[in-house]
Amino acid sequence: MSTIVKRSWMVAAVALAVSVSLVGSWLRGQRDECCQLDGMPLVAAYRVRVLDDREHSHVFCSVRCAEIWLRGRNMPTAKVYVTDETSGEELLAPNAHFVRSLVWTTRVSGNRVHVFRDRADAESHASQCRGTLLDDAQRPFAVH
Amino acid sequence: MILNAYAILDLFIVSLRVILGLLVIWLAGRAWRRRRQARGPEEAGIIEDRLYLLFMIGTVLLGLSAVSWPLLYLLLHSYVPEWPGVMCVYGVTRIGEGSIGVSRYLPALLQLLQVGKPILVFLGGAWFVTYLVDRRAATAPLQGRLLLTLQLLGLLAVGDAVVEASYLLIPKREETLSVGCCVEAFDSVDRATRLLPRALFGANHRSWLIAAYYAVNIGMVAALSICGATRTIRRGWLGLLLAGALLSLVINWGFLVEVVAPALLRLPEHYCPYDLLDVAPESVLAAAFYLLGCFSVGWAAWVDGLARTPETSADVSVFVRKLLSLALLGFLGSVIMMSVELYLA
Repeated sequence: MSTIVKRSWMVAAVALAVSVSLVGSWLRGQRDECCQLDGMPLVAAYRVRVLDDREHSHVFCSVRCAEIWLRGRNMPTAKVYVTDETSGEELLAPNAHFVRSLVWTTRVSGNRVHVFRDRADAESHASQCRGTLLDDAQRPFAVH
Repeated sequence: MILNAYAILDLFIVSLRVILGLLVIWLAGRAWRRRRQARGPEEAGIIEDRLYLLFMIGTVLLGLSAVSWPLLYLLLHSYVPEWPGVMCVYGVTRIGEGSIGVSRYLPALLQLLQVGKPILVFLGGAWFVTYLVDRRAATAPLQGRLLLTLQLLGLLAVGDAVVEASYLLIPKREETLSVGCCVEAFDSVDRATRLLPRALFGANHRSWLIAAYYAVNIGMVAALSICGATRTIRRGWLGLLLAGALLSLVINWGFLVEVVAPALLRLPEHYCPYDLLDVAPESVLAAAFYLLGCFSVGWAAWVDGLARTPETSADVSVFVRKLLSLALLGFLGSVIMMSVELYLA
């Protein structure tokens, strides 16, 4: 009797484990496109895309997340595309102007670096939001 | 204090635990003194009759302590929307960091709670199993040990409840959170959980960690099955099982952070186990199965080491066997669940 009870418990535990896992996975379904580092939803104006050496795209919610992701990775040929906050268009990071200001882009990531295609827009944001236009030594993605 | 349903429930349970814990310390201390001063078997019998209430209170205290463990995480999870910069429970655990006010103690209090609760539940379970063994004996030979363990349990429970009450009552508005994301803590290249496997296994640490996880956990399942099939379980075997369970604690933590979290979160570079509460809440059941397995092995070793007397020897063997069956159930459930989850992820 005791063996039967023991086996019943085992079978019940296994059935519970399998069924809960199946239901959990099914309920999760597919995830929407999100930041590849912290899983936060993407805001189009701050989106950053890294095209790695194998031409795979990795998207991030902010400059900071992309920098953390690239840190420690040896990807000298990777291309980084940032988004101009004014127009929402993508551009290569070396062509962008970066401003560090008091305004968060995403509170969770703690990112305060803003991206602009035109220098005039960057300077305008810097003066309005007490920011600093980042020079060549300070700009993100200078070396990765 | 942030007032919500979980905070009120938690505060209520904390109050009950403080009252019951103090009652347990006082009653157990008094019973211990009277027991030592008892002059004959009759007087000892009278004292024993008065212990039922104390042991009932001890059982309720154990139940409340066990409930308070998941409740703490539910409470922390309910605090996440309170701060716009907080992403998950990890962010909540950092609230107060860098503050110069009283809220600077919040992270340390939470760390204390996160370490203290498993110890409290383990000790409570060990006391309860010893109590069950003692109840089967005619002369209550484990009464002294039970009273001492109960006093220790009461002290820990009161300490834990006081820390939790402090955490609940300290204002949390004075936060100086620079980053509320768990990325910096769990994904940085030099974090402890990444150092361990890399130092041991090099760059290919993840596959080694998966192999180590299955080797240790399936090894435990096999060893526990063999123990269940043998007639006598030797003390050496129990020692080996305990060592295996302790080893699995380290391996499974690394596995959870390095393999399970990125897979279930579907973020290959994100290693935060707290996020699983949100994204894959069913993984809590896998963790519960695993803890049941680990704790049961510990309880079996405890009972075998501290509750074995000439009178209780036969009962101890029965209990050790039952606990090892429970441990088998826990390890098996956890491995199966993790495997299915990872396969489907």
